[in-house]
Parts: sequence; C-alpha cells; structure tokens
Amino acid sequence: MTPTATQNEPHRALAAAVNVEAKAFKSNRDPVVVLRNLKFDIAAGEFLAILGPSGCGKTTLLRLISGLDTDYEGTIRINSHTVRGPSRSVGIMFQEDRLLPWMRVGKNVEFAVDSTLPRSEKTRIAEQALALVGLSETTRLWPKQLSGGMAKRVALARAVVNLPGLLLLDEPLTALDTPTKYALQDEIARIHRESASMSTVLVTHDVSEAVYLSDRLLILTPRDAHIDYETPIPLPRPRDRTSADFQDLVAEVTGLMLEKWRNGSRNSERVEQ
Amino acid sequence: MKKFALNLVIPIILVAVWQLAVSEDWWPRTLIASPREVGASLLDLLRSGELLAHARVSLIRLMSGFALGAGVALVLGSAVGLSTIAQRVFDPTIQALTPIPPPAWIPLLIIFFGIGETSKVGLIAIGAFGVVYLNAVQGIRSTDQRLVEVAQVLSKRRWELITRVLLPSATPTVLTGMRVALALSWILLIASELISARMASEVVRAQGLGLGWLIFDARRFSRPDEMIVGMISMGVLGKLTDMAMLRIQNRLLVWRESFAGV
Repeated sequence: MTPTATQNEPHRALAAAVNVEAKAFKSNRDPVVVLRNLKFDIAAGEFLAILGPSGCGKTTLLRLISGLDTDYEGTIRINSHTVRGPSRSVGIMFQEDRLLPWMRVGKNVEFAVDSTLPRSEKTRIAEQALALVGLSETTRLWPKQLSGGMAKRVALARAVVNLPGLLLLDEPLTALDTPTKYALQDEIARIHRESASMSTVLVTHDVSEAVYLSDRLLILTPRDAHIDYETPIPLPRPRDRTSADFQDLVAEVTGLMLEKWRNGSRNSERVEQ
Repeated sequence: MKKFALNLVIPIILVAVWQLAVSEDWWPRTLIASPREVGASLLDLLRSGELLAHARVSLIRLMSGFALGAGVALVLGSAVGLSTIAQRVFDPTIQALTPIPPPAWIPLLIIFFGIGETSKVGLIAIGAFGVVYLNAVQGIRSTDQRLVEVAQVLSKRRWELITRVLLPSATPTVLTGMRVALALSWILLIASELISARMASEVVRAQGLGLGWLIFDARRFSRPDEMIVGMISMGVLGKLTDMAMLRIQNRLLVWRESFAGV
C-alpha cells in the first residue's frame, strides 16, 4: 500500500518511536498498583507484543499510550513528543469492534477521518482503507449485518485509515473462532508489513499469536504489571505456524509465562534493559 | 385470507355477544345501541361530514399538543442529558413537576385559560412533555461509554460527539417515549374534550367540536349509537397515529438489531 500523496493527504506521522515510563494506580484512593515502573521503548516500524494475563494492567498500558487515560506518573513519548491526549496519528483497535451501529460501514470508517476534509476526500480515504482489508463491497452495509470477522476488519480499517505512525491492538481477536482469528492475524501482519514505518503494539494473552506476529515480545507480570521477560523473535517472515522453530518458541515462551505467572511477581527476573 | 382469520375470532365473538345483549334487553334500549344501529349511525355521520369534522378538530388538537410537549421535551431533555449545568438548573424543578398526573393540571389550566383550545392543547402538551423528557435524558445518559471512547480516541470535537454518537444513541429510547406519549396524548385529549363539553353552555357550543364532544353530546341526547361511533372513531384514529409513529420509528431505527417475535 503506497498511498498516492495528494495535497490533502494527512501526513503519516514519522514512524513512532515510543518511550514509556509509567507508574499507575487503580484510582486516587485505591493504592493498588496497576503499572509498576514500566519502562520500555518501541522502535520505529517494530511489531511489539505484550503478553500478560487478564487484569494485569496491559489494557491500562495501551490506554495510557493512546492518550485515553492520563492519570499516571511518568512520561510517555511518541517521537519525542509527550502524549497528552488522543491523536489521530495513533490508531487503536479494541477488544470489541465498537462500530457505531447507526452508521453504515462506509460512514463508520469515514467517521475516523479528519472532519475538516471535504466529503469526497473523506469518502475516498475511507474506501481506500476498506479496500485494504478486502471489504470494498460492504460500504452500504449496517454493522448488524456483518459477521464477527468482517466487523473486526472494518474496525481494523478504521484504525489504520489515518495512516497512523503507531497502531495499538488491545486483544482484538479474542472473540473470534480460530480460522477467522488466523485470517485476521494475517491481515494485521500484512498491513504492518506494507506500511513500512508503522509501529504496532499488540496486547494479548495468546502466546501463539504473539510469536506469530511480533518482532519482540514482553511478558508482563500478573497484578502489578512490570516487565518480567523480554525476547526477540528471530523467526523469518512470513511466519509458519507449522514449523518446528515456531512451535518450539511458542512452547518455550508458554512455559516461561506459566512459570512466572504461577509464581507471581515475587520471583520475577528482570532483564537488563 | 387465512392470516386474518385468527385476528377476527375475538372481534366476531364480541360483536355477537353485543348483539345478543341488546336483543335480550340486558340493558335498557335507551342506554345501549345494537351493532346494526351503530353501523347505520356511522354511515349517517360520515355522509353528513360531521364525523370527519369532529375527527379533524380532535386530530389537530392532538397533534398540536403532542408536538408542543414533545418538542420542548426534546430540547430540554437533550440539554439536561448533555450538560451537568443544565441538569442542575432544570432537572430538579422538572422532576418535581412531572410526577403530578396530567389531569390534576386541569383546574389550573381552566382557571388561566378557560375551557377553550389553549387548555386542551396545554394539557396534552404537559402529558407528552413528561414522558418524552425522561426518555430523552435517559437515552443520552445510557450511551455506551465504549462508543464515546471511540469518538475520543479519534479526536472528535464535542459537537461531533453529540451529534454523531450521543444523540443517535438516544434515538431508540426517545422514540419509544414518543409512542407512549402519543397514547397518553389521546387519553388527555378525550379527557379535556369531555370536561369542556360538560362545562360548556350553549354560547360556547361552537368550541365544542371534536370526538370527545360528540361522545358527550350523544349521551346528553340519549344517542348511544352516536356515542359508540365516537368511541370507535377515536380508537381507529389512535391506532392510525400509532401506526404512523411506528413507521417513523422503523425507518429511523433500521440499523437496530432486535427481536421480532417467534
């Protein structure tokens, strides 16, 4: 996907190099630590997977990076600019597809585009995004008419329609059946690959998914999230789920994960950063 | 044809029992009319144009009151739903007044406006207002927070959030409220027409048109057949207005996933 640059084309944010330093509590009154001294970087163009069990704070982490929540100690920088709030140069895909039910598919994707652009521009940009995920035919459909997989694709199109420098994925595929999940994973891999400089962060509890998609993965601890383990994924792309290397790596990471999560944060190994 | 057979079972039974009641003199003839007499009276009133004139007057009152009440309710309800300041200013007062059953307003309305059009339209408006207001506020407040977050994460301005997320999200609740308000409006219409018919003297007879007046006047002159024609007409009109409302609702809510019955 090499978008033809026009005058009105939104500038793709320089691939986002993200720097996260955060410490967050559940709420002002509740001293439970949600994120403890989290510190990591995301290189431009990198695909980073963050593995963690439910409730460990990884969704909170994504919300902080996206600018949805700003209640934390520390700084989060994207391309050296501190994140103070949401921005269209960060695309996000939630666990639920969260399409607006009263808008047709086309309008849903258009909704994400800069409102100040002329109507025809918005439509064109939206249609490009839908074509990217292979759903050009669905522009006039209502969300209620979409299958789960289709709805996810629309949500993905909406997340990338503004050519964001950073794409955040919050366990978007958990609700899907396996074949659809695999198809969507390939979509995500393809979009990441074709966009050259876009960085992607995937939060998930599915080890196989993390190994399949990412360049590097972090394991967060349960309860108060901090990085327990970090490893690059040296497998060549395109990834092959059936290859021995792949399966060995998945087994190894799964083992590590279980060991660490069973033991809790007390026995965590800190990797030198 | 077969589809309607089931619909007609109960009506046919009812009419049969009704005819029986009249033929067997279960009630005196002066008080009740037979189906045949009602049918004849209906045709008479239709042919003379009287029925249509009454219906027209009633409908106009209804629509005016409903539009007024619902309109103000939509504006105020949206404001209160969207703004905490508006809520603090308006909601306590409104919440104190809406529990008053609309008919309780009648004496006050008559004192200020007499028994003319204003009090009738006013009563209907008051009734419609209460229902639609509550639904408007509730509809906006119950917007799925997750969808609001979508708008936030897309850096949408407040105006867009309101018009493209909050208000559309409230539409199902608001429309349901409007259907209920419409039914209530019919009730208040007949109440106000009956009351003003009762209170009217010959001098203000001209203002007494309307189906409610027809019903009352028919009773006064012992015309049970016309009385029932009035009732049936109201029922038919009520049903028609509800169907119109339903049509609008379906058109506006075509995007909704809902259960349509087994």
